[in-house]
Amino acid sequence: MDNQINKILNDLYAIDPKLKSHEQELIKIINKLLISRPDTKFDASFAKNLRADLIAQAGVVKNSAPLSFRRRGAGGEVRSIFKLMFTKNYAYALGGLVIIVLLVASVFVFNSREGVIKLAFDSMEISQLENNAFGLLSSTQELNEGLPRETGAEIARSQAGGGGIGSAGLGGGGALAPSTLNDLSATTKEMSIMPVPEAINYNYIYKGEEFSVASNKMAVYKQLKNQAARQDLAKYISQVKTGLVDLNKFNNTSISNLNITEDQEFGYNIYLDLINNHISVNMNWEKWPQPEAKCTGETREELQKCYNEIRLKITDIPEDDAIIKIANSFIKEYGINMENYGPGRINDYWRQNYERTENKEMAYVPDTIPVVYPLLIDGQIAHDQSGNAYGLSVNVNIRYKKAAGLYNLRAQSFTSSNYDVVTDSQAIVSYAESGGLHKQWTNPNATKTVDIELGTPTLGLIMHYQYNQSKAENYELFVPAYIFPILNESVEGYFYQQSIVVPLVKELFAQGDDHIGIPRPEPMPMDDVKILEESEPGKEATVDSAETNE
Amino acid sequence: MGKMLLFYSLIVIYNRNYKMRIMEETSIIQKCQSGKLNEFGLLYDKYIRKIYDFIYYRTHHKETAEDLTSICFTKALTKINNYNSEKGSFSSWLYRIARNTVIDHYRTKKEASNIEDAWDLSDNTDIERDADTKNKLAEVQKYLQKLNKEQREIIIMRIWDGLSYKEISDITKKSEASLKMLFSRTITRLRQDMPINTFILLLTLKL
Repeated sequence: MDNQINKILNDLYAIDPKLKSHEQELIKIINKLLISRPDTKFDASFAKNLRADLIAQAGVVKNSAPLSFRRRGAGGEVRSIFKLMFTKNYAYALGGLVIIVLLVASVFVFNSREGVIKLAFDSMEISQLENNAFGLLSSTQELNEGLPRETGAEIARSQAGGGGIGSAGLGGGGALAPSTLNDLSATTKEMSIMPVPEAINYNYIYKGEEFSVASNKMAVYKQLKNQAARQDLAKYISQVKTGLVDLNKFNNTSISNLNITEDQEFGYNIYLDLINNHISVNMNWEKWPQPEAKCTGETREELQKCYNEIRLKITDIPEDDAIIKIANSFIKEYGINMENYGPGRINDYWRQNYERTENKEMAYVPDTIPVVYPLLIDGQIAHDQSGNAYGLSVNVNIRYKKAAGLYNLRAQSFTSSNYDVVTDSQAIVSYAESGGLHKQWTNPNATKTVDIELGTPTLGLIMHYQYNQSKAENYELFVPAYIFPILNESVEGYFYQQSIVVPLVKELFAQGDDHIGIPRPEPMPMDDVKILEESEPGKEATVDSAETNE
Repeated sequence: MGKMLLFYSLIVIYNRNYKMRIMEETSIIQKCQSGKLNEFGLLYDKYIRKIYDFIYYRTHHKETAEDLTSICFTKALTKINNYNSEKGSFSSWLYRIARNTVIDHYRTKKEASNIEDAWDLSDNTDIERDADTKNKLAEVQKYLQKLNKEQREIIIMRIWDGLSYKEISDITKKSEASLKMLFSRTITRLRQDMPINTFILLLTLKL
């Protein structure tokens, strides 16, 4: 008899022994009623996300009573090829994938009976290595040495997930700190979609609780690359008869990437990066409607009018929940394994620029809005170097209410190694107050200074590229960092950051000082715009300076 | 003889595993208290479902239960240095935090200042409850609402949460003997008040 039922019966008999004479009847009733017990609606993703939040908090040992501070507002074969690829059956997924590729590539001749490759590749494996196993983490710095200054800055910015002007979409943050803006006079009204930013310096002030660092060593994670799998797949592909060349004659081959095209309305292009074990999905442009194609006017005015008519308006943008719902539906439809991703959140840096734009008619309203699902590694939340959530991104096309793409879906096999971390909380706060990992350039011509308040940090991981100069290889590392939230509801000027990042590994922490003085990208002043007019036949093009400020 | 030896061996193995589990938990707690709070995840993994269910049975609302579970574990994380193993088990300490979190939640609501959990809510309250749970519990609720808070609590803790008298004693700070007496008297009253089917329903809702 079921232990649960037995326990219930014993409880009953203990109270009223006469009930024992009705035992069979009681068992039937109990069985029936067990099915109807209330569901507590326990949500595994809730538990996973709460765990990640707690781990992030656990990395900071708070030494005092909490201060009150404002908090920013806080997932068959072809059917689930992503799921297969990133769960336990990567081998079979790749086998299935090969079949798909060969079916769509009609030039190939293929015998599907040979289509299964055994590839040892499991998901979410984290192998612990000895301390400091990845060597110097700051090897990108070695790469930077000897390169032009601009190149080094560009590399630094690329790790920051964008930044500056380019951050309007997926941007990494930072503020615009223009050095020459004081010298700007006026731009033409037509060109001034956004007002000229005032030169502002930012002063970071820590307002959080006292804290100490929980441990003097923390894990650094490195994504595994599976060269053997790529070679096994190449051996298989090499057996295919192309009729053009004998692929089998090439030696020591491996498959680097695969492209799959979905040939249907609103179809997708699927790209599999087998070197880094990433998958991305893009809209198949030939199969998605292109409203701009309707603009066939002959004059600039006609074209501009047409473009203005088809541009999205702010009223076309759905509520965040509706956008996330579209992304979630896409994820569900394609069976994407979201076990190691947090809940989706909207990236709406574009909206800040919209609010600042004086002429709303000319303001940029995006056709696609990304929903980011932060990657969870060993229960910790991954960020880019600006402190933004880093992980799977689903771009939602607002015009057609469909997912237009998916980026950074990745296999999750890592090795980890412990590194010494900074434990001096005062030094960490000082680092944060100086602007964090990618510090702002101090503008000597700034007209004002704005205070930015930082809250108590949480422990997270930030993505960090490690470049191996001798092998010319790039590795993605995830290193421990404190993420200091910016408490200001809004910040004056072109300021996009929502947090300040302080890397904790000693080596990277010390390296941070080297970034001081590298300016963020500056806006290009438009005070001397030259418009190249179409030349008449037989005449050279002329430069019209009438619309310049001169 | 052979059966007796097998039985004895099983008892020894069970006890060894039980002690090992207890020792592991003690070791994890000690690590957390020494500053290695990243070990807290192991404690969380062990208790998240139990604590969430405990809170849900007292709120009848998923989102509220999730919010309060978050608060409960955050409190546990930040206050873990206050836990003293000599004063009771870790699980009892955690359940006590959860219990107080639920009480605080309802007491801070103006419209519910005199209630401690969802069982005290009237049908016309604005406080949210999951519709299916509300309907499913409607039959037993009218009997449980006749009980005083202590009686209702012992029933829910003993039967739905599956807590032992020792654990309930640690949580409520009452003696095991008095709790057994309270449970017996409460069951007797329920047996008299409700039809047998409803009584069994009450006992089977969680088990």
